[in-house]
Amino acid sequence: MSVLQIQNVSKSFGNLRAVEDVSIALDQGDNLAIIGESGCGKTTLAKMIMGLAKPDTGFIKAQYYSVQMVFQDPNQSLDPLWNVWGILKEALWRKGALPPQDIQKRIEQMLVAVGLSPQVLQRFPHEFSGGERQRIAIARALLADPQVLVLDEAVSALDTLVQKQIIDLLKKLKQDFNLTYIFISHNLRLVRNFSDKIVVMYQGKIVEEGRTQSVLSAPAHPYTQQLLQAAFYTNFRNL
Amino acid sequence: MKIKINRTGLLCFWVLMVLYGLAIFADFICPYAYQDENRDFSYCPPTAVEFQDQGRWVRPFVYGRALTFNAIHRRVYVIDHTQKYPLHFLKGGRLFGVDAPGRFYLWGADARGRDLFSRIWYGARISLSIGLLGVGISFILGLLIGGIAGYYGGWVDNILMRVCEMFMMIPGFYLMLALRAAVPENFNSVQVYISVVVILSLIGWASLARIIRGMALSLRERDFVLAAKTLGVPDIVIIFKHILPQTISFSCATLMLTVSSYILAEAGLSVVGLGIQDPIPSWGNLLSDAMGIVPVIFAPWILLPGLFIFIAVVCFNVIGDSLRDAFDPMFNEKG
Repeated sequence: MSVLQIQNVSKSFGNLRAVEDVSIALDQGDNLAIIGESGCGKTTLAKMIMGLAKPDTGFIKAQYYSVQMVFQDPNQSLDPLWNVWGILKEALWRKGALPPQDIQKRIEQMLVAVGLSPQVLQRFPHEFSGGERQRIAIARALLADPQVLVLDEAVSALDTLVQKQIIDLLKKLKQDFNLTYIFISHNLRLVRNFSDKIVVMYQGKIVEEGRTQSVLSAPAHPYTQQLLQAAFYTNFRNL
Repeated sequence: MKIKINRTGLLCFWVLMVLYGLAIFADFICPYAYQDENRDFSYCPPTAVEFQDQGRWVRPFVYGRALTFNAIHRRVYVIDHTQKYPLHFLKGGRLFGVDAPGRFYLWGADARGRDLFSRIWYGARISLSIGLLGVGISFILGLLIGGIAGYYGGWVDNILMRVCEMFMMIPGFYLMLALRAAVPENFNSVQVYISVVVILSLIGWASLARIIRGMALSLRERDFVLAAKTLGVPDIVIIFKHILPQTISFSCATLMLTVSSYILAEAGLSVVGLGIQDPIPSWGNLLSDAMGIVPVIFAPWILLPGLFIFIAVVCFNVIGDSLRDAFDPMFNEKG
């Protein structure tokens, strides 16, 4: 069952063609990685998926508000002036007026689900570590009952150990909440570990796509080969 | 968030608190009502309080005075040592005073024999409140319009900013005069007060709106605003919950700096006779008595309201500056 359909989407800023003729179809339960270097149009694509930017041509079909996003930097994505309660309650906005006990219950359950204690509700973002902050951001996204979760470099700002914890958490949550992931990253090692399908973007275009194993073991496009080589180099051939 | 304000700022804060306290309790502190006049004591100089009577310590009292004219028809008050009026405290709901027909002028009297001390503190009610009220209104306007313009951008921004510029391009004082001219002549004192507040707030909101708009323009690209958008939070809620609170540190400092300019503006308007009308006192119209050189030479105490305008303005400015320093992270980390 298709939960998100991206059809021939293009977007340019002035002369810069950020995204060019991109088509992706996503089925329920997919775990798709979009990889590419900085400035290749990954984030622009993510913003269009979220409805934060409008495609120049083409269309994106998803159920209304069924897509949520976890941002790269949890320092930026949580409003520093609001405590956890205020941040998470916002995610229930679209659900209309809920009885207060119900809100409390949902938020506390979600905090437990992402591995935080319900006691943190009165604390402010700066009182948490980066990993904890990202857990709060994930909890916020999940409270809105999404089908698709866009993870825009969601672990890039964290250190390696915390990265692993968050990746494990995301794997668990995928099962628990029956989620579909779009994992936007430049970290090939994480992608290989995490995603089933892969889309390689280069200068706004999709240059290669397929199952993660097949793309990474036998890259067809020169750019993908280059990317892999670079990854080999930086990861000391641990890939 | 913990705000650490420097010592000068704190001092100014307490000075202002004293001024506001005196204004609020003017009914109690002042010996006379603001309209209580006695033409026999026109421009009566400050009354000395006597503590000794023929070498003996007695309850404080004041001597009676009689108005005479000297050879060049100048007023001269002659102290009448036979009349003694003891100071009484807490009588008739007032802190201190003397019994009629004696008059006690701590800081002298104006042309109509009204006590300047009393009129200054009653006037403080107007002068100190008008700045705060005017700033309150122009801040609501400025934050709202700036927030909306910056958040939406595009043609909304364009229209709102052009309106702002229309207000900003007219020099403040002339805009104030023009707006005052639009107010009917036959307003009573309350209506005049309200109209002056509105006029003041109309001249100040535009510059604030422009700055808030600039901040909102950058804030709307921040991730937490985008996150709220993707959660389906309505725009107006985002503006109030995420955009405007981020500008609060800047706004607080600007607020204080603006209050002082509003106090000056009210004074300016009242000095030229377009603000608060006699007999209601404000520091501005008290000072308008001092516009002629003759009263200033012979009754220099009528300049006193100017001193209080000065003190209030300096205090608000210093508090604004120290608030700005307190909110400035670069400045804070050093000290």
